[in-house]
Amino acid sequence: MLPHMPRLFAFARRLTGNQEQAEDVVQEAYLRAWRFFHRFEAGTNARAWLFKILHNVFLNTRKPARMREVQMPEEEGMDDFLLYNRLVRDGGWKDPLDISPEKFDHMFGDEVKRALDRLPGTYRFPLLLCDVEGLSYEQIAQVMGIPGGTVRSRLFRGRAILQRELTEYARKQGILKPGRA
Amino acid sequence: MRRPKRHGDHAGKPDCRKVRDQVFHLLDGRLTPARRRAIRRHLEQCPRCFSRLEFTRIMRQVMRRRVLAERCPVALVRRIRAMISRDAGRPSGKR
Repeated sequence: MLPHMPRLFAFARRLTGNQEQAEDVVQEAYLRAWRFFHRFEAGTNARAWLFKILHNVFLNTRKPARMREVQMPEEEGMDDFLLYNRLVRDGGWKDPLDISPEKFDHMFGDEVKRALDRLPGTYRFPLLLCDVEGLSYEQIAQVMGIPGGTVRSRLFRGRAILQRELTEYARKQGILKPGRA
Repeated sequence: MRRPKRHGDHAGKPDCRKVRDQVFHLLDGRLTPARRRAIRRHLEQCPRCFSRLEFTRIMRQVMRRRVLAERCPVALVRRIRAMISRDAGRPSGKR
């Protein structure tokens, strides 16, 4: 279980948005994992099991509102490709294929982290599990104790909110032309 | 996947919308092999859909890199090891 600690910590750091709280959450999760190791089913995904424990610790150590305070925004009108669409339309990209990880990181890397920190936990948790940890929707549903349809819905909304935040950032930075919604 | 050579050839075709809706499912590994092949065939012909996929893939890659760049403090590893050792030594300590 210990080899998973760096991944678990990186995850907790983004989840809590705070170094000290991330350490506390990981420490408590490992203590529980150790004490309840007899419940771990051999042959199943150890990392997913640890994330499930981490999820419970996180819920118990935060104010309940942290994960539940946000009303689900309507999916209608949300765009999970908003940034791309705006960059192509307003960003003056002559060749939309002219993008590299380095270029994207230079333009948006810091803001991606900040936008993740601002994203409500309801969306941040499944988004990190899917996009960073590569867990399947079924595994995320098990980790979070929610139906698969809810996972899909939260992923869509989380990604759309992130897109909206990055698009707003791009507008403020002058990457996008101002004045167009 | 090959980068499409011409721009805009298939931008107006009706299946672009379907492909757009499947981009995340493709990246999330949720498509059947047949569906994946069909999407890939479209992507090889359609620069707009291809660049949308590439942009999304790159964004995810950067997010992953940034999140995983956080270093786990050595002190935390030591603390957890010590905590587990202490707990293992307790008469009531369970695994």
